[in-house]
Order: sequence, then structure tokens, then C-alpha cells
Amino acid sequence: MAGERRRRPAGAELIIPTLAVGFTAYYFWTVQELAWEAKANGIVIGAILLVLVALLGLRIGLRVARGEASLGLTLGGDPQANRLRLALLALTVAFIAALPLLGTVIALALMLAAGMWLLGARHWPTLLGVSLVTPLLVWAGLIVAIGTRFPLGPFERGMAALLGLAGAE
Amino acid sequence: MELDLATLAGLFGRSFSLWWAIVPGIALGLAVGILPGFSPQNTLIILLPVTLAMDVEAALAFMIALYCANHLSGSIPAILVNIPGSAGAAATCIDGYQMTKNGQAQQALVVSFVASVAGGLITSLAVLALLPFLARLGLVLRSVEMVVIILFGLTLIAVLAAKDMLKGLIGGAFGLMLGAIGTDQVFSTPRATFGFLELYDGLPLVPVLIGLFAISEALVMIEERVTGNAAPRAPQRPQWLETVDGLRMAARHWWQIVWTGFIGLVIGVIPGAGAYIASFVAYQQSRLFSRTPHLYGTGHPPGVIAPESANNGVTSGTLVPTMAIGVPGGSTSAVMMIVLQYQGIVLGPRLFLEQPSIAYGVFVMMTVAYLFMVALILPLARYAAKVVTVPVHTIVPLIIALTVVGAFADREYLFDMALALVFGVIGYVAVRTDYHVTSILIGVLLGPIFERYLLRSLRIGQGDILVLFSSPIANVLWCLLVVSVVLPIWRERRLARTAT
Repeated sequence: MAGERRRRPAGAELIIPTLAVGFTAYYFWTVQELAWEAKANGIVIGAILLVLVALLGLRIGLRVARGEASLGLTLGGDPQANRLRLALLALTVAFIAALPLLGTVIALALMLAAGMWLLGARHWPTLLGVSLVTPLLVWAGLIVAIGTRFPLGPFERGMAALLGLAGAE
Repeated sequence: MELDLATLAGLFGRSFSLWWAIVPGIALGLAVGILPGFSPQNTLIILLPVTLAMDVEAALAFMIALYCANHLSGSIPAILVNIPGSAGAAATCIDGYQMTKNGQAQQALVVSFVASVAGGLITSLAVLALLPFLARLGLVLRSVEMVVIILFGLTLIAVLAAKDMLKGLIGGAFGLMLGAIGTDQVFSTPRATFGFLELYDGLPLVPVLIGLFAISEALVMIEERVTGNAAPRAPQRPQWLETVDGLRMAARHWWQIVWTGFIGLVIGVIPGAGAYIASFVAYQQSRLFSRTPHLYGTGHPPGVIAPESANNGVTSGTLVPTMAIGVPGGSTSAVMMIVLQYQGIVLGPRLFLEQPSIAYGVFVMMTVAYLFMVALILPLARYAAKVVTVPVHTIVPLIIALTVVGAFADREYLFDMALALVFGVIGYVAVRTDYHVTSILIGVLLGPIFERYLLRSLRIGQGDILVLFSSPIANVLWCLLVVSVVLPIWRERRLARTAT
């Protein structure tokens, strides 16, 4: 409506401070029994942090009182983009959970294909090329050549047996 | 420890003849440095069977080339996609990624490469000239002085927080609190570990770095996919012209390369001081003494030059205590020490008399490795810059998948992958609500070492805080610190008064 002031949601600005205060409280609780050397640094920084957060809370409170801001929690951004973000995060959680079961190569291939599909990639050669070549490069470079102990699955074990690779079994 | 010109010329000739070890070392170092989570020390440990089997000089040449190239290439993902390849490149993101957003990706890469190579070259030559003095410097700078040096890095939080001081300081203090996770420095009792054994050694830096920068940035990029407002653009002009443009930008700030390289050299000489301290201190000092401090953070070339030159200055400095007194300056030089000791070489002052080809040869090899890099990296800038043209639907899943894999590689814990994801969400919320992720990262990086040196100083002073003002060098550093905090405030006020 013309003339009505648009109140900017400022509640989201308190997410990081709330996390910080929560963590500081937990830190104080874990160090209460410790010697001063073990807690001095954290307590001084934590105290400063609490003062800073109180000042920020005061600033936002004043803005809300003046009607310039609301305590809305939105992070902004396009709703469709937010849905994609959540889906991609869920996909990454699924990838981490599937790693010990499927092994690095298969899990990575599935993650890449699903992620690209989710974000709208419909060009099949690119989709297949990226999601197949990248895990193979990770396998050859990081597992076989450098010997990083990534979770192994059917592909890695099969290739190790086929090629007689000692480190990747 | 004196070195005559004939010996020096012989060492250069010998080092050039080891090109067959240096070039693969550079290639591997560049490849490993681009991937967050893959450190040069881990790569060298994996390659120990190879280096132990090589002739000692060839093994050294290979390791040094890998180490130097690794320090250089960490800036590539930092500039192109806001993901530092290593903690030492985190400060490069601030202006490097802004240059990419301004359509200057290739120039930013060239500026970073020139600063890295020139910084590394100048400081390795300086080490050859000043080795006896630098060797003593490592002994003079102790815990008390380190406390002040780290505070220089921490003041960058205030600099970054200039737009909204309160939020910036909250971000920095939150980072410092997170840096206090893990067992304490004196009694090894766990603090705020949430019951996870994986956090007893403190918050692992690689997952934090990956989460705060890579995953959060990938989540932000999704907006571009939906709204079509892609920020990084393909270069508009023929690409070699952009390389020349980058070279011009770097040449215009040659003095910046020199003096920030020396900041890296001095900090590198101190055992245990990492490249990230040097790059943050150099960035902060560069901004402090700049005539255009307001341009920092907007894609200003000196904001790329300072951390990169310092980052590579550290490579020379870190080998000084290793060779001169047998104390490794960092984890990579510790691995090099293992190889040298396996070959029967005793490190320390006598090495310079008994085996100058090794003692001085290390720094000559470093100089030669940087010379080889000059030829190899400029074409790389042209092709690497094409990354910004990859569509969002491809680059975002690639960033998330590969960096989560990188989070695993450092300690080989699945826990670290989950941790990277948690920090990705924290980083995304921070970006969305105008908290600077670099402020949080500075706290996480510098917090634990600040605590370590502070407690060490206090124990030396038997709990007396005045121990921090007990040495002449520390007192000079304190004065400089006060100047570096007060000067920008005074300058801002003067500018504001002039404007009114």
C-alpha cells in the first residue's frame, strides 16, 4: 500500500549470533571444572562475544520498536532456488550416507548425475560425461595413484581384482 | 655460512640440470594445490617411497618444486570460484573472486601468478644473501613476539568488518570461539567437543574452509541458475590481451610484491607459523599502507598481490630454520627433513660447511623452480579462466561433490564430510545475513595458535601478563600494531572531515 513503510525482516540476522551464543554457553559449561589455563582464552573471547551480541540485539530491537524492521526469519532469495538448495543439501547427506555402502566411485557418479539433473541439466552427453568421467578421475588419481583411503565399494574392489591393484582392495 | 659466486653459479647449473625432477614436481604441486584438502605434506608423505629411492639432490628438487607450485595454485579456485585451495589462499578470495565477478578472472589469475612467482623468487634470492641473519631471526622471535604477530592478522577482522563493525566482530569472535574447540594446550582436557573424538585435535581446518567458502558459494550460485543473474562472465576480449593486462596490473604494483613477500619470508622463518598468518597479515598491512584502502574488497589487484606474494615468501622462510638449525619451519619442511635424514644428511650449521650443495642448493633449487614456473603458468591462466564459463547446473554439483571428497582426504574421516556440510550451511546463512565468512575463518585459523602462544608466554612469565611487554622486539611490534589499528580510523575521520 502506498505510504505504508515496508518492514525489513531482521530476524535472520540473529541466526549466527544465536548459534554463537548457544555455542559459547555450551563452551562455558564444558570448561567450568577446568584449570584457568584451559579456559582463560575462551572465557575472555566468549564474554566479548556475548557483549557484542547483546549490542546487536539492542540495535535490532530498536529498529523493530521504530517499525523499521520485523523479526521475520526469511533469508530472502527465490523460493524455487531455496527448494533446490534444500534438495541439493539432502542429496549431499544421502551421498555421505551412501559412501560406505556403494563406494566412492558409484556414490560420486550418482551424486553428480542427480545433482546436475536436479539443477536442470538435460544435455545427456554432458550429464553422463561429467558424472562418469569425474568419479573415474577421482578413482585413478586419488585412490589408485595417491592412495587416499576413500570408502571402497563394488567398483573399486572389482577393478582392483581385475587390474591386480594392491593398494585399492 | 658464506657463499662465493663460483659455487653459486655451479649450484644454479646443477639445479637447472635437474629439470626432469622439477617439472613433474611443479605439475603435481599445481594439481594438488587446486584441490582443497590435499596438502603438499600429505602428497610428499605418500610419495616418500619414490623420493627416498631418488638421488638426494633430485629428491630435494622434486619436493621443493611441488611445495612451491602448491602454494601458487591454491589461489586458482580461490579466484575463480571463491574456494581457497589451501588456508594460505583464503585471503586471496577477498579481492580475487571480486575481480572474477567484475569480469577480470584471467587478469586476477595472472596477477596472482606473477605475485606468487616474483614473491617466491625475490625471497629465495634474499635468503641466499641473508641466510646467516635469517637463521638468527628464527631464534629471536619467540612466543611473546608471535602473540603480537598473530594479533596483526586478527586485526584484519576489524578491517573486513568496516561495513558493519558489529556483525564483523561477532563473526570474528564466533570464529575464535570455534577455534577453542578441542583439548586445551596445557592439560589436554577436551573442551566443547560435543562428545566427538574427531574434534579432540580441534576443529579440522579443511572441512571448515570447504564449508564456509565452497559449499556456501555453491548454494549461493543456485540463485543464478534460477534467476539467470550469473555474476562471473566470459572474458570479452581476445584472451592473450587479458594476460598482458594482468601483467601490467602486477608490474604497476611491483613494490607491493617485494615488501609483502618479505612479510611472508619473516613469518615463514618462525617455526610453526603458517602461510595463512602471513597472507592475512600481508593483506592487512597492504590495505593499511595503501592510498586507496576503500578499493580493497572490491576486486583491487593489490588485494590479490599481497596475500599471494606473502604466501610464497613463506616457502623460502620455512626452510631457513630447517637447514640452518635443524628445526622444521612447517609440516612440509618436516617431511623434507625426513628424506634428508634418511639419506644421512645432518641438518644444522655444519651442513653449510660440509655440504653447501645441499644447504644452499635448497634455496637455489627454489629459485630455479620459480623460474620454470614463469614459463609454465601464464598459459595456465588463459585456460583456467574458462572455468567461469561452465554452466551453474554443472559447476555447482561438481563443487559440492569434489570439495566434500576433499574434506575426507585430509584426515580420512567421514565425519569431516558432514562437518563441511554443517559449515556450508553456516557459511550460507552468514553470507545471506551479511556476516563476513572470512572473519569467521580468521578466528578459526588464528584462534588456536593465538591461544597456544599466549599460554606459552604466560607460563614463561609465571602468569604475569606483563611478560607480553618484556622484549624490545615485541614492544616495537606492539607500537606498530597500535599504529595499524589507529591509522585507518584516523584516516577515515580525516577523509570524512575533508568530504564535509
